[in-house]
Amino acid sequence: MRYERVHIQAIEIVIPPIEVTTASLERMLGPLFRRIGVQDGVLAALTGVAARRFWPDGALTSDGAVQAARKLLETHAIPPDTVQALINTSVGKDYLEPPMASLVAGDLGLGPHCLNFDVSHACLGFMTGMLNAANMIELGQIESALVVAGESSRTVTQGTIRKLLQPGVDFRTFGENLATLTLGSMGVAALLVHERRSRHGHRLLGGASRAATQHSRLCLGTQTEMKTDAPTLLREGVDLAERTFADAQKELRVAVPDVKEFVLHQVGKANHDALVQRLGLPPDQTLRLYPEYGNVGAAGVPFTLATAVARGRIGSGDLAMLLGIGSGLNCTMLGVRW
Amino acid sequence: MTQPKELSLRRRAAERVLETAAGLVNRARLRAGPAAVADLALLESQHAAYVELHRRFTERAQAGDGGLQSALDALDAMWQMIRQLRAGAPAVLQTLSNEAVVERRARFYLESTRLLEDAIRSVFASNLGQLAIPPARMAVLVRVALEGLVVELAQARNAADVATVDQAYTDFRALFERSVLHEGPAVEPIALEPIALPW
Repeated sequence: MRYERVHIQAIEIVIPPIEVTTASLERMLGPLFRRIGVQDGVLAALTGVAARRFWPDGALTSDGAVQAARKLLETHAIPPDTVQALINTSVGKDYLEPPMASLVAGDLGLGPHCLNFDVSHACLGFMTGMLNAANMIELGQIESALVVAGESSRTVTQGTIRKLLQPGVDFRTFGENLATLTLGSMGVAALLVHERRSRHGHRLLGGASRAATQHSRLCLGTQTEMKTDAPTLLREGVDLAERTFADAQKELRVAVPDVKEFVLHQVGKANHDALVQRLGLPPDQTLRLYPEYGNVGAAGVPFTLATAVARGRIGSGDLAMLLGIGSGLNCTMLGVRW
Repeated sequence: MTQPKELSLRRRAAERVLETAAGLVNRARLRAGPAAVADLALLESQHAAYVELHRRFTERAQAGDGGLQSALDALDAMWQMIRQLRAGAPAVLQTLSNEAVVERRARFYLESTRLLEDAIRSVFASNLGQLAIPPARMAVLVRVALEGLVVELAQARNAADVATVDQAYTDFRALFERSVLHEGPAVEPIALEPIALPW
């Protein structure tokens, strides 16, 4: 797929205020660790995640998306009534209904003609939301769309800690639940516009998507727990990413040396290293944020893009490639000329 | 907290279930009828006995009574459980090779090994760095040794044969006692490799 008229007007993040270190989770799990003979420091050593963020107790998942979107509208002086679509892409949900997008649009006071809907696509959600917005803009249906994601790991982390402290939990059960303890929280928002409205010229070029739904049951998540076959998921995810990367390079007619920054979904050390190695990416051109923030779900890729821009890793005219992978399995790679 | 009297009652009940299941298998075989149900009962009761032993020794370790002596007591308790299978010994071999219960048998091996590993981690929680081999492999080794003794016991035809198996257990126990822990300082823990996580 290629886009000719779609630009990224702005992208903003809101980092939740409460830092929860992996060491503090290990202290809570002390009774279990002593019983099953696990040493302190094992969680960070195995995952590469040293901390994550929590929203304050009682905050809704949608609050993160609302805060990020509000920050974007205010910082860039975007009148709310000019937003013609709002797409929420969070993995987490506050309710089965209404859609999270309605909650966010209502809180932001968006106008009566603003389309609002959720895209549920696991950790790939934000990029799929961007594609939906870009398609509508490219077709001339709208000129401006907000894509948002709010993720909150407080409930699932606390539920997992409680479960692991129950009598009878053994080493294997600890291992099965370990991934849940790497989840983090974040709020992100991006405004996509028609080139007519573009102020900075950050152009979304297009890219490629691939699916491998024969692996759709390798990761089953609920509000309180996540059951995964992580080794298979890693292997198949990297295979899928390799094929998607090849498609995207062909579609956009670009190669690795043309790219200034590879913006990867943030998961953990083993996954990051595997992707970098298999795709042949220069390690110093892939920002790692999972050590301080964990896996922030659908917010991972836009959070990394915004941080890379803020740190000066991506400048005007640079080519950035965004790579998202989500349970399902689905993979999308998009090019952005900043 | 579980009271000692209650513990003892629970233990006796588990032993009785095991003896009954072994007897059931025997009777089913003697009648030459389909024995799958009795085979399943034997496997279930063996599993229940493992669960009971796991509970008893992990609780004991949590109360501060872990280490080598506790491990040897656990080994003895498992051996006692196997000796009780003697009532159904002629049928045990057939149970182990009965194709009708192949899935349950595989699950029993998996679950009993998992219980063993967890118990080893609990009992040796303060000596893990001195274990001669890692807990997961130690669990497999103990399970294989015990199942081997089950098979030997099942083939015993007279008191002399049984005495030979008893001696084999005594020797295995002595080897375990001497070599399960390294002497001297704890060995360096194995370097931890990053693990795969879901996307």
